[in-house]
Amino acid sequence: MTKLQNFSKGLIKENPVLVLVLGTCPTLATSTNVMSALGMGAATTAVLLCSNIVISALRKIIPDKVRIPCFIVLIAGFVTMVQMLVKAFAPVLDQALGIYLPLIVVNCIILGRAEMFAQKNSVIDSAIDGLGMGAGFTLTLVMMGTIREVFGSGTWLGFPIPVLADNNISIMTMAPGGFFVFGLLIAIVNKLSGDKPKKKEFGCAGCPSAELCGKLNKEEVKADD
Amino acid sequence: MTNLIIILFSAIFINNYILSRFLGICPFLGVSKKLNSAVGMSLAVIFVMLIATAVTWPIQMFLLNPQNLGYLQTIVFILVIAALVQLVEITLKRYIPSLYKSLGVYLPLITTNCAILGVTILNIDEGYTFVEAMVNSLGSGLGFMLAMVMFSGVRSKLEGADIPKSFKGLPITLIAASITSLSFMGFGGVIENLFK
Amino acid sequence: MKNDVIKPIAVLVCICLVVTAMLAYINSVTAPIIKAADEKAAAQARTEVLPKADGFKLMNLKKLPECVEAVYEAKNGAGYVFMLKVKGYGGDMYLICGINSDGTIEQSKTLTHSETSGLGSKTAEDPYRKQYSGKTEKTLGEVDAISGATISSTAYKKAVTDAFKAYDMIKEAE
Repeated sequence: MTKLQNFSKGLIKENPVLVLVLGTCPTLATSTNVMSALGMGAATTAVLLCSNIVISALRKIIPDKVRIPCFIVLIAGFVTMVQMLVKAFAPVLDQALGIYLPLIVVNCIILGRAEMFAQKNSVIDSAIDGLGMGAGFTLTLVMMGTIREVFGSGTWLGFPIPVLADNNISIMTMAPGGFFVFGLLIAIVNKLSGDKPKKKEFGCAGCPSAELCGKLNKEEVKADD
Repeated sequence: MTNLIIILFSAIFINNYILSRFLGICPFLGVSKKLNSAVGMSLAVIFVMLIATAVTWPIQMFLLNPQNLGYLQTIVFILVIAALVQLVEITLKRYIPSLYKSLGVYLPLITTNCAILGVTILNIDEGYTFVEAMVNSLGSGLGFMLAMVMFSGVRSKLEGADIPKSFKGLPITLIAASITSLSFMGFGGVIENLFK
Repeated sequence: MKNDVIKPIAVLVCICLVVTAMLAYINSVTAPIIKAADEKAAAQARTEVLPKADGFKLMNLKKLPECVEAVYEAKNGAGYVFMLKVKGYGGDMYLICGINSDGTIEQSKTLTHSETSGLGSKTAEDPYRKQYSGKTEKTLGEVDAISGATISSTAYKKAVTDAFKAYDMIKEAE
């Protein structure tokens, strides 16, 4: 795989949000407008890049037994740094993201990439992977933010749009609008990818607890028999 | 007292973790296919939310705040929750095997669940007292359960429904969640006027 | 065998220490900036709610009403700015209210809140808060509450009422 492919896979083929269905919580919560979507995307990309680089650099040192706690400590550290920097230099963004800023820690994308990619690949590849995934995440967020802001508030990045500004559908910026737009986007992606029945309906593959989840589903099947 | 009732009910209906705050969407989409796993998962979430709040609230108030270490909140909370989940798992396995059998499988899934970390941080952010924080955690957990249980019903109906191919699976579930969340908005004015 | 136990623990402890040390460093750098930004934002908010004032001085008052956290006096005597904190529906609401020297509200405004979005959050928006402009202690009752968000509206009004109480105290003391 070339470096370019490594980067671009995060944008479309393995888009973390629409294809792998990871990090749904911040996607739904912070896509109410383009501004906070961009901010969330940038913050997550920064954390993802740093954690991928450091985890990849330390991959030979960290013992397998305690790898998850180690990853969590490192990720939480980077999140707190980003949190303090945002508070200091972009207080408006801090207000807009609120609780979802510290919650980047538990964004499955980050732990998922650490587990799936960074701990098996070189530092440079991991950095590119982090950037690509972050870009894919940001792109999707901004896309959702655009749809919700344009129709919900009649503005784009704060600039009013004629006609729509007077006829806004404010429900789009509220919780139901988030679920609705997200559902539609995934349906569109399904349609574009040729309605191929996906192997897994819910992208557990990237989730750190995928192994346990699989066990869970198997046990359920057994219980049904 | 009224204050506590309002906190409890608004955590369940108005600021519902899944339908309005968007926390804990992963288990909501992943584990709500069958009723019994939805109930098991929710019970485990309620359980861990209560214990996590009981531990993190004193840590923040008596350990971090007096030492001016408030900025360590995120890192300390996530570690405490992860350790706590492990501890609960071991304790249950050893002493209450029957409970472990029904909840055990769900516990490890909870460590990285944003609903748990979310509730502990929100309890601090909103300046709740210890009792208020516990009530809020209970309400949040119950709200989580309500949404999970409701959805396991919706999803089993959707399985058999004739829907466009592209919408099968996740998209139609999200659209259904959108409609449910819309109906939950109707609770908005009700609760606060009930207990005024 | 022994190495299997010690090494993981040692690595984990080292990582924790390094991360904490870095956080402490970044905190020492950003904390003053955050504080300065907060103060600047507060100063800006004060000018916004009482534009006629040319500068503000923190008043040293004892026994303030429940919701009043601090009172600033305009240096040119244009009026007073009250920093308010009140328990809303979802948690504490922080408000700021500027009262002219003739006892009418110039502007009031929400600084931070955690009210339900779409309902209580409307108290922070212009149509609601602008209702207060020009009101006096007696005409405060004319402000319409937001339907579906009675508690948030009542809390807002309670805070402003307390601001007037503090205003009366200052006037009496003069």
